[in-house]
Amino acid sequence: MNESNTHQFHTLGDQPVQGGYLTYVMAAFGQGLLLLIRRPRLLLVSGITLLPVLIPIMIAFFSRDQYASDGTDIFIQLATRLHISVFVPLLSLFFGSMLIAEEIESQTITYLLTRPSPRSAWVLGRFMAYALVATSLLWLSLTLTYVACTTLADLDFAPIHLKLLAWYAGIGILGILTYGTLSMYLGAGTKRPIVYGVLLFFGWEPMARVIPGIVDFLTVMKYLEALFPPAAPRLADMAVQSTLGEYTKLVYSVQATHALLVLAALFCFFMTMTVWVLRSKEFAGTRMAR
Amino acid sequence: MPVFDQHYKTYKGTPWRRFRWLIIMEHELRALTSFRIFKILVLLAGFNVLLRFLQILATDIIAQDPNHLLTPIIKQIHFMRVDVYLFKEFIQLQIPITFITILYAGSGMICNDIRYNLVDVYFSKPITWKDYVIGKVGSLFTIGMCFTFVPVFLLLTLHNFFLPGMENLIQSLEWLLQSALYCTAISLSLASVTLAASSLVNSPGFAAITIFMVTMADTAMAGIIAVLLRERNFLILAYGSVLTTIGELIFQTRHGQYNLHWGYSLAMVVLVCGTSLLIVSWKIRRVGNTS
Amino acid sequence: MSSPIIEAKNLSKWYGEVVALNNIDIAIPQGVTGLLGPNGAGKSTFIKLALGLFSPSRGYVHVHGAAPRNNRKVLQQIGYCPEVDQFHETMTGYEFVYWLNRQWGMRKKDAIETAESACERVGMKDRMHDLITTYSKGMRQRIKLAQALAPAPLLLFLDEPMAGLDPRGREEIFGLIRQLGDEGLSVIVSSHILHEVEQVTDQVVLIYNGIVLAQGRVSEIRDVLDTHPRTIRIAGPNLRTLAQEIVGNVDVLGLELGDGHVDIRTRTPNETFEQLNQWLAKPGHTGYTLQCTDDDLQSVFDYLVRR
Repeated sequence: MNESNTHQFHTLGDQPVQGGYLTYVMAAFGQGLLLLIRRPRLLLVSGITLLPVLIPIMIAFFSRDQYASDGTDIFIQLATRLHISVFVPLLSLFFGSMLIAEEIESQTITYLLTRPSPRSAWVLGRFMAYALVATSLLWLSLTLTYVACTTLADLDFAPIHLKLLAWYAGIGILGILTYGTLSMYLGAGTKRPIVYGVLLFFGWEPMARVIPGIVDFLTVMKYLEALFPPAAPRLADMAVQSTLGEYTKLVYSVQATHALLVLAALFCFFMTMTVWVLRSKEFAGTRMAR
Repeated sequence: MPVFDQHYKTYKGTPWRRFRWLIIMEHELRALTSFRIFKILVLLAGFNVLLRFLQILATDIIAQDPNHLLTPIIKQIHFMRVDVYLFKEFIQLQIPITFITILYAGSGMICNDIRYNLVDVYFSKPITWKDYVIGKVGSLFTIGMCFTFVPVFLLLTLHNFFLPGMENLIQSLEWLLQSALYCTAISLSLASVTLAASSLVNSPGFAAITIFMVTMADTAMAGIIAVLLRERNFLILAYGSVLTTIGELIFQTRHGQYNLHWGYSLAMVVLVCGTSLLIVSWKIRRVGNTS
Repeated sequence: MSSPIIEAKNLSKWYGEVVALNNIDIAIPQGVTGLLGPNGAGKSTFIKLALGLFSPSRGYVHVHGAAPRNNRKVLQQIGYCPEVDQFHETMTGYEFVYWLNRQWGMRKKDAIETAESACERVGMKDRMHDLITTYSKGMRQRIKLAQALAPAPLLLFLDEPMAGLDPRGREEIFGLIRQLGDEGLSVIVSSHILHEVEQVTDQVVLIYNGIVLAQGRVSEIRDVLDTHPRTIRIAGPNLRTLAQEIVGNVDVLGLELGDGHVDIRTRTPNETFEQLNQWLAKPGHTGYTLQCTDDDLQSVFDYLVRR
């Protein structure tokens, strides 16, 4: 070992000064961000998230239909049916569920849990890193899709149209935050976050939307849908085809303010649950996933 | 001074028995069946089987009595009939749970072997890369068939027990053959795609979410393109639609989700399976350094 | 005597039906202490309990007088070098230590300085900016050690720190641990190789099958085992003659003539040593060496397990 240090090594009892809560949050944020952006898989996710940009271009080139939809309609369709309905849960599941689960899977969590940092600060910092990356990807895709849609009729960079983009960007971040905390909780609290996440987001949520009654109130998308602009299509089919025939589902609506409150409550609840799991669960054992 | 290689050495002897891949398959299946979540998934898959069993039981028993009060009602309700639609729809309803189970079982199958240096250990035994790949694909394929084809076989057997007759038997054999083809297309493609992702990504969780993400994005994109361009044939880009259409073609029920020649759908299945298996083989040969 | 830095009372930990630690009482004083036992003995479980990574199933463990689980004050004083060879592989060694410093609560400037000096201290200065994936096993071990040392802890847990190191690397780590001990740091070193621990301390806790077999200085432990005979080896010329003379004059239980030496088994080692010294001091009895062969940890451990 090198005995002649150029730097002064801290001696016994001479520990560096510890910062406040924000120092811990920023440390977890910085480390989380570095880990997320250095993964090659970020390229794959970026590629998939940017695919909707191609659709307006394809329409511009291939659509021979004289009654083809205009740019605004296409942007609303893409933003509603792809960005919010598909990419928000997918990005949350992809990044959020593995935010803590990957540390557990690779057993690097022991380094973090033996640091004297508040668990809530670590969770918050990591979550901020996820939210930044996921939101950036979503917003980039939304913006580029919007730009691509301006090549079609009836959509330009007028403030009234840009407001539409901002509206969806806002719903997008709310979705990223709510689905993200739920995914993060699944990652911390279960051994198979992906399986449970897929079952919840892409099994339970679409199913609940067609079940009669108020079962759809138990989905996150219900509250995001309540925030959609008036021109947006409904995600739940009003007419549901079943083996017993077709029936018309009565959809109970939610006010935008109530939806915002529910989303905020869900965010706080799953955030608290994740911190509680980190404080109470024993993670140091081997957890080799199949 | 001799310098010795400290790694596991690839087995150079003559393999002493046939069907060595069976060992890999057996090992994987044994490991998998010991997991509680796998048992839960089997139970979930069994729910659909139970419903279909009750349906066949009710229909067959009542059908034998033309004077039964319920006979005309049963004949009126189309979904209660035991016909080709029942088995096709049964298999199609099994696809999501089969997908999730194969994803669960297969997402870590290769990446864990690579991560924990087990590929070298496998190849230090009288096992070739072909045995390894066939064993892994075989184990996932078996799971897929157990969730789809095996229940069909059991239901058809019960149907013939409840309603014996040569005409019924010949009809059942035809349905069995159709089911076998359809289930093979589903199970083989799910198994090979899952293993391809597992060989390319170093974490089971990310392998699973990558497949799911690609599948979801692919389905949603194809659907949107088809709607916006008012051209149903773009649905061939969604692999889920390809499998549904293949099912419609095999069971000769009705037109698929798009109007392209059946050869295109078959080509898509072959392309997906072939590419995935090539990726798995390439990766295993590279990691195991075998030829 | 100062109060122990780690104190466990009736400490038990079980995972389902597997008992990892069974009702153990330990009081570890300041200084370097070896935690010894074969694989699966319960060493790592004890360390994880002391780090607060696990909760005790029964009893308690206190570090510096407080329960460590979710206790930031205790964690602030602890450094931990885990057994598993796992890292954030996309980082460099320096980045790994730097970000863990930040997680410790250091501000950016302190984290940079401390990460650099910790890497330097473990001999990784030249390679600290390379990706961890390019490191050898020994380098990875050093980076693990660096992240544990960086916040200048009062108590350091090293779980199998010598695993995967070459002889030179081991010597360097031995030297570092001894140096840390000399500086007043308390170090808990776990190992299943007894020889390794002997290199850094004679203060040991022997754990086997979830129970503490013995605790204290190696020589103290050995003294407790007075029911067991002890072996003294004499090497030199004319061993057959020597053996005949010893049998008549010294308190021996048994005697075994080997190749160039004779092994004497006795229940009273101190007296026997004294007698042998006097005998060897006589004129003509030159060229002999005396050695207590089973005074090392391996022998002590063997005795205790057999008992």
